[in-house]
Amino acid sequence: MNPEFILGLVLLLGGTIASAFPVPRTYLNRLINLEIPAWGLLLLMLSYNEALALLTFGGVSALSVYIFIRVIQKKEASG
Amino acid sequence: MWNEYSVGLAAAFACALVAFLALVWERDDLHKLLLVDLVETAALAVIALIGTDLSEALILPGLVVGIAELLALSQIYLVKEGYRHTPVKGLNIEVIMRSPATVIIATILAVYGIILSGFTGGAIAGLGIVFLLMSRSFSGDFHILEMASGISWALWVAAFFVFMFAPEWWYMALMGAAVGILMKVITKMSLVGAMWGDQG
Amino acid sequence: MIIQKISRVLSNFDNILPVFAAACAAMSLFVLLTLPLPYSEDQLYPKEIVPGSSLNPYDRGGPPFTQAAIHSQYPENSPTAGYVTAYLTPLSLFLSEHTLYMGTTIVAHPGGILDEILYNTRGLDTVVEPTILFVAFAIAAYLFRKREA
Repeated sequence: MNPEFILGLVLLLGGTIASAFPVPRTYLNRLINLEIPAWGLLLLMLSYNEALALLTFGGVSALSVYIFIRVIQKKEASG
Repeated sequence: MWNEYSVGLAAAFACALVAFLALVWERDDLHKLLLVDLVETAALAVIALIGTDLSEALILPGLVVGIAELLALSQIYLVKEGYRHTPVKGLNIEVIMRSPATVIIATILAVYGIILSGFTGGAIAGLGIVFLLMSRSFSGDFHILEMASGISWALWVAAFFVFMFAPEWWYMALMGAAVGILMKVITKMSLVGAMWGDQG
Repeated sequence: MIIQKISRVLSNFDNILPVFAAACAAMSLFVLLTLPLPYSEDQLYPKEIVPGSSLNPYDRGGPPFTQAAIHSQYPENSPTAGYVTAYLTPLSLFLSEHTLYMGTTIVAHPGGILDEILYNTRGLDTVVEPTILFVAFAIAAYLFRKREA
């Protein structure tokens, strides 16, 4: 077990708990916490040398933030 | 017996358990959407733990399909709740709105994506287009985008049948499949960017 | 009686997601209880890291236009498996000869092990997934454009 693997698992577990039960239960808080397990997954992929999956996951998670921000903005704007 | 794979599986399934339990008691639809994304991360970790080339081949389409489903679900949510016509603010940052930097970044990402081709290339090139469309407000005609997406999908499936029935023509099938899925993913991603406009 | 009650719960649209999530949570718990789990002895598409190769970490052997050895699930169904893995486009050949640090770009370019798995040996698995993608895209585009009507 190399350090990336252990750190990845720790981030995945901690981030999942942080994102499943965010302390101020707001959309934005939960969205920001979602980045923590994503980092854990990236480190996990890094430890298995899955470089292409890592690259694609980086691109796709940036896109999903756009989509979520758009929905949250619309929801907050109309109350 | 507790090898690396088992430890990883224990952590990944514990994550899945926590995320699903949170989903059971969640009542707000938008929170549900965010939790589904969390579940996806845990599921991808389970696949990534296999560690062979097969796991990567399963992750790549999974990621792209995941973003498409997210897009469709978010739009369904907006229609259902009646928020469709609420305006969305653009990125009011002067550097992004006026300088040529966004065009340069978008071009680099698009060119690199076309070089990569396949699922990854589509995602990277699409990211560039999203960035460009977000910074400049854009209102255009989407019939062409949808048509391009449909045609490239047909090309892609045709390439699959070449692989299956005429495997000696693998070279043509390979090029057809690479171009087809690239076009398809780019068009889908550019829809994400166009949706950012004021009316959407 | 009990069936009636169950069907009443399930027929409520709002209950479907919690029931599904509870089922998946139960499945996760079941998997946690059956651990530890070893790797299968017969791994498909095993991976080897060749440090120093310009295709690292995706060097799977074979000079272009020859057949590389692929450990696929049904080798008898894909007689040409291996050609796509070994193939390098002119651009990726150029990159592989001039730099050691572009292995990921080269494998993402047409040709390489991942294209082999996705298109040639897995076949319809990959078709089904992007069909979902296509349907989702059609729904999103339809809902988005409906304002014009």
